[in-house]
Amino acid sequence: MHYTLYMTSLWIIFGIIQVGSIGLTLLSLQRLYSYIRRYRFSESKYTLLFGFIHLRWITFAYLSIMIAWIAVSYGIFTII
Amino acid sequence: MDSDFVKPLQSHDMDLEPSVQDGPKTPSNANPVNKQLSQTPRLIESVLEPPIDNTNRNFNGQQKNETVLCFSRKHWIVLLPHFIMFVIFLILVISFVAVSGEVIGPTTNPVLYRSFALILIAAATYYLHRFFIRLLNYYLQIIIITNFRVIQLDRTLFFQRNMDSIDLSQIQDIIFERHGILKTILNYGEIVITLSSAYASKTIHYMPNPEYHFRKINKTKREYIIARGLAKIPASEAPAGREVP
Repeated sequence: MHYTLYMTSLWIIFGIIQVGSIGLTLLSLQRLYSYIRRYRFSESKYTLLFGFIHLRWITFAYLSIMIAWIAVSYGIFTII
Repeated sequence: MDSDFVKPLQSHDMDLEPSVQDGPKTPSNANPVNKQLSQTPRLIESVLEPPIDNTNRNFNGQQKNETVLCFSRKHWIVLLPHFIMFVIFLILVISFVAVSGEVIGPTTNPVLYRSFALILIAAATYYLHRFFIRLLNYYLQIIIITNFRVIQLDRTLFFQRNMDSIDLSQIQDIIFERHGILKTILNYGEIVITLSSAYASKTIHYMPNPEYHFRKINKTKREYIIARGLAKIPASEAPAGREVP
């Protein structure tokens, strides 16, 4: 009984972490794009990170990695 | 990156605007003031007679006859420690996933393991968000040089929103500092702007290509002061000196 309850609690916490994580990602991206809409500059190799990394690449990587992390953490969580 | 090779960052650079002295002599440039103007750089003319309305063109709060000359972000060196930590983090996660399958046997208590794994997952999730938000914040911290002022936008996604605007006429002195091997090799440094007002000085840290920006501010300031003197731009039209929205 205690075992089942404890495992259920762990699963609920795991779910909250992942939902919160995706929520934070989306909120960050929403705030970012609402901000950069107000600042319209033409980027060049002198203004980009390392001279070539565009902001949209980072936002894409952020979203992709956070989704991939859900799968990886699920694997870690259920490895046993 | 040699500063001499740095080109203007904006396609609508003011130096490209047509000059009144290029055309035939008209009643407008026969005026003594305009005669005097014809000997000044094109930048000044475009300040006095803006060809287009730039209100809120590049950023909110941009004046009608204010043109963005260049903008810059901080040097990438500010992110280097975070990149190193991120690589270490990736190595740790990959090692954990690779090793845990062999180390953890069937006799291991699942509750104990999952509790431990949950703590690790929460910590790793927090770290991932922190890393990426820091990376996104890098793109939000901008230094803008316009023909009226130097603006430093220092904001983060969630907790900070500062905008520091320095009118070019308030600048008394500009110094650029680049001490050390790393700063010389990677071409970054500090720009110290001494103000004539109560705010004694303003330092912009980790400025990439500081020599170029130093020269740009100096040149713009010189031309702005000449233009303002000629046009007698009222103080009410000049942008606010310091603003924290």
